[in-house]
Amino acid sequence: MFKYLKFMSFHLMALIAIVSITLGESYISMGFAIWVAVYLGGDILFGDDVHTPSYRFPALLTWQLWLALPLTVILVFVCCWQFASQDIGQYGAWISSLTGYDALQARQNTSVFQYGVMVVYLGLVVGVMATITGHELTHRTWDPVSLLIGRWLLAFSFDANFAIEHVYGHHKYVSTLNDPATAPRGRSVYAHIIISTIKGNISAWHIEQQRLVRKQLAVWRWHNKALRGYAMSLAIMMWVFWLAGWQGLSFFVLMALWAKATLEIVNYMEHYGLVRELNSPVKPHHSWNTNKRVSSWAMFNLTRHSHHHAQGQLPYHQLAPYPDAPQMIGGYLSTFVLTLIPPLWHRLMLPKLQHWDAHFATPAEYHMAQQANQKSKIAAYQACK
Amino acid sequence: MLSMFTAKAVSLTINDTLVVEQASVKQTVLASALAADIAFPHHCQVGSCGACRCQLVSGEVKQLTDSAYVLSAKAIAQGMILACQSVPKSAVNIKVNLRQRQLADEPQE
Repeated sequence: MFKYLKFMSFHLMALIAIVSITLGESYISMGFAIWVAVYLGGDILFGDDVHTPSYRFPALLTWQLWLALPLTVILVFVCCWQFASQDIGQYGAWISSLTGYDALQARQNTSVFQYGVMVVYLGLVVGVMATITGHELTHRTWDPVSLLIGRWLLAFSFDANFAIEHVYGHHKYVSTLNDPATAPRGRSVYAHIIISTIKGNISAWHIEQQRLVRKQLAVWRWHNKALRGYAMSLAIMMWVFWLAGWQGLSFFVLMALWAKATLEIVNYMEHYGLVRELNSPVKPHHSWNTNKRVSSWAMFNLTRHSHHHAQGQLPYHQLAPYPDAPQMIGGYLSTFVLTLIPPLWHRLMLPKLQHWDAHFATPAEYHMAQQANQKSKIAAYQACK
Repeated sequence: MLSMFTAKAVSLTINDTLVVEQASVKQTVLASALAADIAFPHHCQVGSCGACRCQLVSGEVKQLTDSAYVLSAKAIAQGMILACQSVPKSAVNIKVNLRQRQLADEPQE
């Protein structure tokens, strides 16, 4: 039973977020504190999970993922309600009559500071619940329902087209200079967020355009999935505007950009500084792996990234831990924080990269790694021999 | 009558040699070939690299992804498919260069 439940932490975290934002005031910060304590603290304290249980009912795991869409919609609705001038859908009155808590009064008292916390908090919740789930679902290109739900989930961070770029670009080019999502040695996470976002969108457009040309379809028509992807985000923005006007829309745009940034930070951690010859097979050593328990449960084995890239078609519950693959500094959530301080990050990754060059790289990759060190503009990397 | 409830199996022929007598219609051509110890060229397994491209000489397959992401219009017209994204719908006969690598791509930088 627990082997099914352990992947439901994002559902629980979404419920906590819905409750804390409904309650308003400093409850918003409390919700955020719980999120940080459970995920970041748990990641640091609770060690690894290297089990790969077999599942009799894998369809249940898929339903768990699909649930992310209604939860995300409810969450964004509650945020819009918090920002709106009216009591949209009588939600506040309903909460008050149900619980006796004066949600409308609390909403009046919610400070600008709490609004700021809400952006950061929601971006992270959406980043885990919508983006990572969207990633898993859009890999299932054989299942139209999963693909559709996955693209809508990604649209909450302006990124439905990740479904195109990631599968047909990133998985083909990972750890080469052709891949927008692989960060070369010496690049800071802040530069990566901008560069990877822009190049990823351009790449998705090119991939889709090429598909349409090959099928002799017009580019500026509805069968262009990249155009439809942008239209999906636009539809969500119109819905948010209709609910909560400019204030709600401003919140949503900031939140969605931050959620997109979290995805790029995760991309940054997953392949930083790794090299591979173009057209050579993708091996487990072309990703940074981690088996930290809490990250693996929260992000349903995205952490088992080495196997994910070696066999991209597998659903998450079949991914193996690969403890011998190159290991990230910590779990996803603790490593995430480290990337935000570039000098510290580059210093911590230096021994990891040196070890990679010495133990994992093929002779050709070793040579490419030396060139990457020279180009990194970091003296300590350039001094490596 | 019962056959309605059991998954149909079809034969898989590669380069004119019958390699699997009863390939599952729930598995990809690539998976069936690999299970039969054929060194079928493959790599990404998500339909993005084209390493498993092969020609469908006869039979019918269901393609799990749009092969136009990877194969040129000319290749598709010639009946090329991606083995990792093709599930057989009937007995299939496939021609493949067992020594081919991924699709040649633009050089790095």
